Amino acid sequence: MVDILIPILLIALSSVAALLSLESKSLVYGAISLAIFFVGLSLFFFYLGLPYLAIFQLAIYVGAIAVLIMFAVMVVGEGGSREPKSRLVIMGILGVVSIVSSLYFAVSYFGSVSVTQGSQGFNMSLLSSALINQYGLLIVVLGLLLSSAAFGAVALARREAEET
Amino acid sequence: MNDLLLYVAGSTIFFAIGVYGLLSKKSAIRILFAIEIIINAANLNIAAFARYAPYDLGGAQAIAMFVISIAAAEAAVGLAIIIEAFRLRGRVNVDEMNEMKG
Repeated sequence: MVDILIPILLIALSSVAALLSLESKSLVYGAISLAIFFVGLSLFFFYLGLPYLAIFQLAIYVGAIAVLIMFAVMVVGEGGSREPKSRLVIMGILGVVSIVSSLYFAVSYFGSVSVTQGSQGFNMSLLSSALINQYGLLIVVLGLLLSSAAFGAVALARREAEET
Repeated sequence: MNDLLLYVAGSTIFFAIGVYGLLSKKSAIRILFAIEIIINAANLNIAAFARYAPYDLGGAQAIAMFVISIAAAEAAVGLAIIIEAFRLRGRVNVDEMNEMKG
């Protein structure tokens, strides 16, 4: 019973936080709700028995991205945002209905397949050997991508200062 | 109902919330929020399937870590573009950004 209850509670917490991040009136509260959503996801990873991924999620999302978004919200303010037109809300609800109905059909076809949780727990040596042997080149490419993103962000932010 | 289905259902709920925000919001920052929610839903799916796979050699966690890193790069560039757009126009509504229209 507890096995089912904890994921359901986490889903409820994260869904409410995600909805609040989109629907709250103030963008600052939206950014805080998004950070709570990220924490909920990291609790999910802890519960799934993937602690390294959970700590990675906490460090990158809550520690870096949520703080970066907070600073951007402080610069932009409310950004002159207005209430969405009802046409857009209807489009969004149609998108939600299509996705949930596709889940329903997928469950009706594959829901009876029985799966069990893998017996092996978190294994750091397996993860590190996969990162080094299998994905070594990808990590180098990812490093180049991150540095180019950092340079791009700095270039975009400095352009105004050079012009004035 | 098995446990994996619960995680997939949760991931679908998050994905649906993200798609709702993507389609219905006009503020660029809210759209960035929605994109982050969608990326996290995909990540939860990867982690859940990794946990219920018959054997996992660490590959799924590595892929989830790559997804998180790419999302960080995307957020940095996206926020820089939003701040630049705010400097130019004073507002960040995406339906008013039509400078590249042909």
